[in-house]
Amino acid sequence: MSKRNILKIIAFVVGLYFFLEYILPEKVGGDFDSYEVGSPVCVEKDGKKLQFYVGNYYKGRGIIGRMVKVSGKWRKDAEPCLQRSLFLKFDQYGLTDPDVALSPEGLTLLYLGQNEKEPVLCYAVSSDDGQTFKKKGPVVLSTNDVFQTFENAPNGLIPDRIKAFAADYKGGVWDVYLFTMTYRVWRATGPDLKHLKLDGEPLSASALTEKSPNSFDVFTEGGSPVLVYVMDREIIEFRKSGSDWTPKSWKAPLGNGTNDTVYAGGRIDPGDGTLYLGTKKMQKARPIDSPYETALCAVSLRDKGNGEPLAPEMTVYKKVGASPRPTYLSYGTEWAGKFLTVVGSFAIFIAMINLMLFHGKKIYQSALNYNAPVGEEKLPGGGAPMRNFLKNAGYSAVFLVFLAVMIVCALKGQTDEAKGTIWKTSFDFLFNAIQAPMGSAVFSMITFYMISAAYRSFKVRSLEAGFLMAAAIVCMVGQMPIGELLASFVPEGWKLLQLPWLSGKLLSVLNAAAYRAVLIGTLIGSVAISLRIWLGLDNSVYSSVD
Amino acid sequence: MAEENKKRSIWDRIQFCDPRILYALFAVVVIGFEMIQIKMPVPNPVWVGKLYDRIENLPPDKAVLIDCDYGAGNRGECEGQFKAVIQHLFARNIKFMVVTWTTNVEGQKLGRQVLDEVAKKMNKVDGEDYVMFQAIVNAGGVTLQSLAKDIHGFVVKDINGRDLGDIPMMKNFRSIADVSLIYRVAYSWGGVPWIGFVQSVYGTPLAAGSAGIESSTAYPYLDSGQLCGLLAGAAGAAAYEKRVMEAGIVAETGIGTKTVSVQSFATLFVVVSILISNFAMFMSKWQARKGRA
Amino acid sequence: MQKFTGKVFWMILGALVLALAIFGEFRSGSMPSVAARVKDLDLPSLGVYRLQTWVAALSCIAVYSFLFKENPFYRFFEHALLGCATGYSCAVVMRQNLYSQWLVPIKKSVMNVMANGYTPEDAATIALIFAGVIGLLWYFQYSKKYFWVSRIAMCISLGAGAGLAFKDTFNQLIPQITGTFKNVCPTEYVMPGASLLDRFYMGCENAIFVIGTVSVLMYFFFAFGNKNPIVKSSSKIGRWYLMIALGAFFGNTFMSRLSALIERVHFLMAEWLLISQM
Repeated sequence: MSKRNILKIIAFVVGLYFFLEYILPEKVGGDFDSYEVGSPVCVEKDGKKLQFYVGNYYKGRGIIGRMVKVSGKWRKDAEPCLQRSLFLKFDQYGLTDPDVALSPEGLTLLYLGQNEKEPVLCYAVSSDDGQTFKKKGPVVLSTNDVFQTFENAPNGLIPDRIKAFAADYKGGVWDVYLFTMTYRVWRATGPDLKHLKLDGEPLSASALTEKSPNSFDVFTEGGSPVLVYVMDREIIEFRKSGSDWTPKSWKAPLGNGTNDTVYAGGRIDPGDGTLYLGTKKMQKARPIDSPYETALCAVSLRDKGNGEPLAPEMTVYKKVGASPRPTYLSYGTEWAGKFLTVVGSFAIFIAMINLMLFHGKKIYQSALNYNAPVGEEKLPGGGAPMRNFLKNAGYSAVFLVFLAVMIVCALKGQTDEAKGTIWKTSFDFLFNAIQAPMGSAVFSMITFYMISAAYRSFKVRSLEAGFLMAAAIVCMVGQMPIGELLASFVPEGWKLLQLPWLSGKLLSVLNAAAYRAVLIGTLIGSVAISLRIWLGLDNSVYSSVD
Repeated sequence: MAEENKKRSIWDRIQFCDPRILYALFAVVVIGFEMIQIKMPVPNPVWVGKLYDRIENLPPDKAVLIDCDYGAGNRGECEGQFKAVIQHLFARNIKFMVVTWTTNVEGQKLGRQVLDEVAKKMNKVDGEDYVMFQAIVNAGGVTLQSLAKDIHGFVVKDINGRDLGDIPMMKNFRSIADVSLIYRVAYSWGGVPWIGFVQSVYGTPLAAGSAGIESSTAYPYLDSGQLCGLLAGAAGAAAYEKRVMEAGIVAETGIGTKTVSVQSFATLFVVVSILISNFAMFMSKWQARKGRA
Repeated sequence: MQKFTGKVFWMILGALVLALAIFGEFRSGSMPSVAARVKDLDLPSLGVYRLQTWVAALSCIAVYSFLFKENPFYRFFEHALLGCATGYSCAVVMRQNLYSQWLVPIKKSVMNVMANGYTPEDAATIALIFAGVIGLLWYFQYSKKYFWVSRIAMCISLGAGAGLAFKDTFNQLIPQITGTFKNVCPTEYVMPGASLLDRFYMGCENAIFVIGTVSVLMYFFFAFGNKNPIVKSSSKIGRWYLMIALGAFFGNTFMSRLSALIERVHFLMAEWLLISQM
């Protein structure tokens, strides 16, 4: 294999890593809930309170995390307990709306798996207290006794698309309620989650179907089921009385009464009647930021009268802001960043070495009055050696002296610890007396050339050149105080004659439109060139290599 | 030569005059107005106001990340932009971290000088109210990715050689999630790909303070929302200094305001000279046509 | 005119400036603004500050002297600048990158492993030694025989750049494209509270924007011929937009350079000659 091909393969492999890192979907571990939290559910197991909730590290990528109540405080696990599968299609886009129950299999976590098509009700089982779960796939429901799933119906034959669900396990029977997109509540029961039979008809009470909850829950009290709806700013509890359901509601104006906070979902802990809620607070909408500030809180519904306002107590509070978005390759990306910066660091010395070689060679040849062999270019010599040296290599000596002095002074004089020392003073002196002022002066020299070029060549020989000149003048004068001063003489309604306004519009509309088009073209071109380099089609990069 | 000059009309002599006359007149204008320093109304660009309002509404528990990447050549524009914003951040008690690059080490030194000066005046402490990181090698997006994920692990130390973990302020700021705004002050605002690797991925707002040359390329990004504020050249710096002064944060104007008042007249001089040159061209052509007729 | 631009004129001017500067030195000790500046810059004494200012002023004059003719004065300072700039970059990279960000973490990880045993984080840090090995490959470009080895480091950087370019480009490009689809007929729903006239102006502005973007894109389409009247007229309109954008670009360019010049003039007059306000 030729050297050129080896180099091409190296470039391709390295590029492939970063390309895959961009296009591969994410699999998360770690700070999974820094973007949003919500949908909490609580359960008590072996005397320990466990709370499961949905965390997002980015919009729509729900992962289930766990908190344990220890000494009255909720302690969050660093790692999530259940996350989406990349290769099973039910929850590829995330997990939402968890519910948890204790069953013979263990701690059972039911959730809605989000995917391309429609939400799928799935479940997972944990043999411990929820630190690790094993996914069991979709819950299977049926309207008859045939419990089969299909490609397009992973939950079996259910009447409608699931919006929310609630599940309870009592007396060896699973009791699952489904709230569907058509505002109907279906009930299914069965001995296990693979064999749930739907009632023939949905629950008929109109009270249940008037509103669409963000989430809903069910628990049994006094032998009767109680349904709890979590709305945006209202909690409604439905208790069965006969064939009817009686509502009881609480409103919750959060956010200092400004109504900028909504409930995103939650479930009730039947043990103590505490409702665990996720809240979302709308911030000032900005185009790119996440609009929500989310929190997990708890409120006791016992002893609350109908219509009474709620004041939830905060349990976990999460600020807005996306966290690092890990991918399968994420653990390598940070390391790759450090790797490439070190490789880049070594490259910076090449400039210094090249300059030192160039100037050093001049000094060497001049100082030793070097007699170059036949055929090699000789420095112009003649005259006394010192004069010859100064003429040919004097400046090179200046360069090397300043290089060496600056390196030493900068190494020793950069930090605050060196304050007051000769190194810091020398370093500051060299920088402030030579480097900074000369850099500025070199940059400003072009102004003179621009003035004479503008005076001589900026002639309006055509209408287009006139437009160019007019735009330049408007832009220059409009952004300066002189433009503001001239605008103060123009009446308020005559905006077109106000140079600052005109220059603002020129820059933000006309100029922006033209640059956007140029930018689109440039970016597409850069993709093409990157593709060529990455695939090894561009040989100019490998010139002088066989 | 005198004979040739006689043959050339006055308009031709004006059009093609000795450039040294222009330089001399220009120098007189610049030096004259530098000495006189006339107070002029400072313009108020929209995007300067937006950045100011954004900083006014920043949450106090997150930090701002300032990318100080300007060189000696852009000091006249960028130093004012940098200084005015850090004065505002100090006044609002918002902590900030300053990132610098090895590709432009001048930014570190110049930024540090300004930072130390302002911090001393406003009684702010290095390590408690602000931190300047060590210079980072700019290896493109991979650097920003690593920086965004783990600041402590990537940067390691501050400019004085202290571990970031030992700095009191840095205990709360570990990744891009703890940053509420990125403000890049540089000759070219797009020189480091913050938009491609940080702003679009994590949603952190990005504002820019850039030299006038590069500021015109920022407008498409301002329109699409990828940039949330822009200080363009010395005029942008002057506008921000004015707001900061009106808010009572500082008692006097900065370098931006001093520059733009002289710049106004110098610009006016150039505009007038271009107009004179064009007028001379038209008159010369008209004369030539009249002569032929 | 020639007499005025001759040597005598420049000698007189130079002498005047020098006299002014020397006069300023006698005043500088009593000027509070100078004392404040010494304090701001954290310099040890007034003498160091004035020496620094003088050298800075001379270096500026050396640069500007190039406008007339290249001369030894300019060349001396030019090489000094080159030496300082190169030395400073290298010192920063040596101390702040190679030592602090590379060697020190590796050393810490090795000591951690020896004391507490292996951890994945320490292993990852120690593996960065490999980065140094790859970095050293850059220097093979000084060898004629093994020049190609230096290309390995270059290809790694190139490959990374190419791979990352997709992410950068698409993250920048998509919002630009979607942002071009502006509302040319905004209703009250889109602009609540705005009057009909305001909505009309906004619609016009948006239409100008969209037309501008599309027409400039059409201007750069060379893949197909512009015999089509729509393509032809669009590219003509695009040309106009480009003229305006280039004019704005020239204006901004000039102002940028002017700012640098004014900053230097301010330094020379306020800090060196002390004849204007600091």
